[in-house]
Amino acid sequence: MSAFDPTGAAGPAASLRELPDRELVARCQRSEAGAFDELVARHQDRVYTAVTRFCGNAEDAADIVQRAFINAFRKIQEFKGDSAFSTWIYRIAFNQAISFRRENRRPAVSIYTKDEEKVVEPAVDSNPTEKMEGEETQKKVQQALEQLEEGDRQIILLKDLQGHSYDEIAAIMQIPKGTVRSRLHRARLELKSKLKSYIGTLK
Amino acid sequence: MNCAFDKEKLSGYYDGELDAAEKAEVERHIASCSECLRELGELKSSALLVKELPRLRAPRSIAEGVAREIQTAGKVHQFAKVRRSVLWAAAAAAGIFVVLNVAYFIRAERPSGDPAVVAKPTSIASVPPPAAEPAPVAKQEESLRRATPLEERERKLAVEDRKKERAESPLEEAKKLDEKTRQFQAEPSRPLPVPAPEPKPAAARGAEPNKPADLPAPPPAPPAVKPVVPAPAPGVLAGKDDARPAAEAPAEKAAVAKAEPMAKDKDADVKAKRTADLQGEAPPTHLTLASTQLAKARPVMDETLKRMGVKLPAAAPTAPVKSMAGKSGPVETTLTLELTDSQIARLRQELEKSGHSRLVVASPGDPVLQQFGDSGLYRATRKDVASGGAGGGVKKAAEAPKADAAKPEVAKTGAAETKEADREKDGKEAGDSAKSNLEGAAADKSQEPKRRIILHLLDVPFMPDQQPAPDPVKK
Repeated sequence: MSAFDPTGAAGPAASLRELPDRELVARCQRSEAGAFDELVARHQDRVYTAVTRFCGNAEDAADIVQRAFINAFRKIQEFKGDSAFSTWIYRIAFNQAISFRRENRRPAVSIYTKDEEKVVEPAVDSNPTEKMEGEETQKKVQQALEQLEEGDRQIILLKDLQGHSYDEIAAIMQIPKGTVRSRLHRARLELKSKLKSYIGTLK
Repeated sequence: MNCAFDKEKLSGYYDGELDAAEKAEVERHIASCSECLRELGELKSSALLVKELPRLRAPRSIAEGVAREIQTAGKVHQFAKVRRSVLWAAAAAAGIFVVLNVAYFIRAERPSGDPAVVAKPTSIASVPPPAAEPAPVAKQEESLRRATPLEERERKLAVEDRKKERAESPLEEAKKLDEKTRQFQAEPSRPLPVPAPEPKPAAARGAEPNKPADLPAPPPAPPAVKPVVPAPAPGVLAGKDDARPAAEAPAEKAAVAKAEPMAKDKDADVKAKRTADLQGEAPPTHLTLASTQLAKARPVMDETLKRMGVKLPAAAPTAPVKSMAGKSGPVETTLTLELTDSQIARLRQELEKSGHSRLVVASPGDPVLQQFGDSGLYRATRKDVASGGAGGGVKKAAEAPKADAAKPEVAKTGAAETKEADREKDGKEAGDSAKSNLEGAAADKSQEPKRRIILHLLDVPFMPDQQPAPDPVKK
C-alpha cells in the first residue's frame, strides 16, 4: 500500500474519488493502494461527528475513530458487502466508542473547550448574539444527550444528527426496524424531558 | 396524556417513515387531538436541536494514524505471507508424518487383532454364539479366567516376568533373549492382548478387569520347568475359544482339525507340545509370514536366513505346499526352521521393512492366528478394524513411549495397546526377570537356544490395512 495522502491530492487517488464505496472496498480487498485511504477520507468527518457527540470528548473521539478505521482495514476481507460501508464503519465506531467508554470512565471534556476550529457547519451563523445563543443551545443539547442511555443517544444521533433512515439505523444498531421507531420515539421523549425547560424558553 | 393513540407513529410521521395509511391515520388524529399535536411539536423541536448541532471536521491525526497502520500492515503482511507459507509447509510435513504414522500403526495393529474379534467365535460350528457384542474385553477376560490350568500357569508366569522387567534393571543379552523365549512359550502370541490376569477370586477380578499393571507380583515361580500338568492340551491348542470349559475342548479340536488344512500338522504339534511340556522342552513355534507380495518377501527371507547362517530346509519354495483346494486365492507353504529368538526378530525386521509383509506368531490358540483365520489369512473386516485396529493404532501411537501408562487404557481400547506396549518392552528392554526363571532350562547363557519354527508362508491378497477379503475359512 502506498503512503496515505490525507489531502487527497491528484494521482490515482483522484480517480478513486469517483468510485462508489462498494468498488473501493473491493479494491481494498485486492490490496489496491489508496483505496482505503479514500474510504477514510470519505467517511471520517461524519463518523467523527457522531462519535464526538456520542462520547462528548473530541480527543477520545479522534482516538476511537482512528481505531475504528484501523479495525475496519484489518477486517476488510471479512466485509461481504451485505450492507453499505458507511453502515459497517458506523457500527464498528459505535462499538468501539461503547467499549472505550466502559474502559475509560472519566469526566468528559467538553467538545467546546478547544474544538471550535473543527466546526465546519455552524448551526447558526448570522450574528454574534445568535452565535452565542447557538453555542449555548448546543452545549445544553450535548449535555442532555450525554445523560441519555447509550442506545438512546446513539439512535438519536444516527437519526436526528446524521439523518439515517430507519433501515440504515436498524443495520447499524443491529435491531429490527420496528424497534428503531419505538426506541427512537422513546429516546426523543427522554431528550425532550431533559431539555424541557430549555425548549420552553425557546418557545 | 390521556390519548391512547400509538404515539410512536408521531415519530414515524415526523421522520417520513410511515406508509400512506398510517400517515393518513396520524394526520386525521392530530387534526382532532391537541395532546398528540403538542407532542409532535415537542418531538420536532427536540429533533431539530440535535440536527442543528454543528458537523465536525475530523482531525488529520485520524487519517494519518490509519495510513501509518496501513503501511505497517503492508510490511507485516509481506512478512506474514512468507511466514505463513513456511508454516504451511511445516504443517503439511507434520500432517504427512502423522498420516504415515497412523497408517503404519494401523497396519501394525491389525493383524495382531482386536480382542473383540479374537474373543468372538468365528466359523466353528460347535462354538456357542457370542454372548454379547459389547464388552469384548470382559469376554476376553472371561475366557482367560476359564483358561485351562496350563494356560493359566503360563500366563501367570508371563505377567510376573513383565512385572519384573519393569521393576528391575535390564540384564545381559542372554537373559533377555531367554526371557523372550519364555514369553514366546508362555503367550502364544508374543504381544498377547490382555496380559493374563492371575488367578484371583472371581469377584475381585470382576472389580478390576484388565489391570495387569496393578496386580500384585506373584511369588517367583519355578518357571523354566514346565509344570507337569495333566495337560488339557486340546483346549489349549485348538483354543479357538478359551471361554469354553476345557471338557468341551476335544470335540472342539476335532472341529478345528476339520476346518484347518494344516490340521494334521497341528495335531502333530499338539502331541509334540504336550511331550515338550512334559519334558520341559520348547514346543515348535508357529509363525505366519503373510505377504501380499510373497514373491518379493521370499527372497528377502531367504537372503536374511542365509546371512544369519541358517540352513534352509530345502531349496526355497520346495517345502510342502498346501494348496487350498477350491480356493483361488492364497497358497500356503510351510517351512520348518531352527532359529534363535534374535534371528526371528531380525527376520521379522527384514521382512516387515517392505511393508507388504507381516511376520506374526501363529501358534494355535493364538488370537493373532485367529485374526488371520484358520488358514492363517487375515480375515478382519473393516468394521473390526474401525472398532479396534485403527483406533487402537492411533492411541497406541500416542502411548507407545510410555508402555506402562498404556496399561490402564486396556479396558477402554482393548488389549491391543497393552500388547503393543509389551511388545515394545519385549523387544527393547527385556528385563532380568528371566533371572528367576533361568534355573532349570536355560542353562546355556552364552549360546542362544534355538527353537523349532514352523513357518507358514502365506500369499495373501491384502494386508490388514487393505481391503478385507471374504473369510477364506467360511464355508
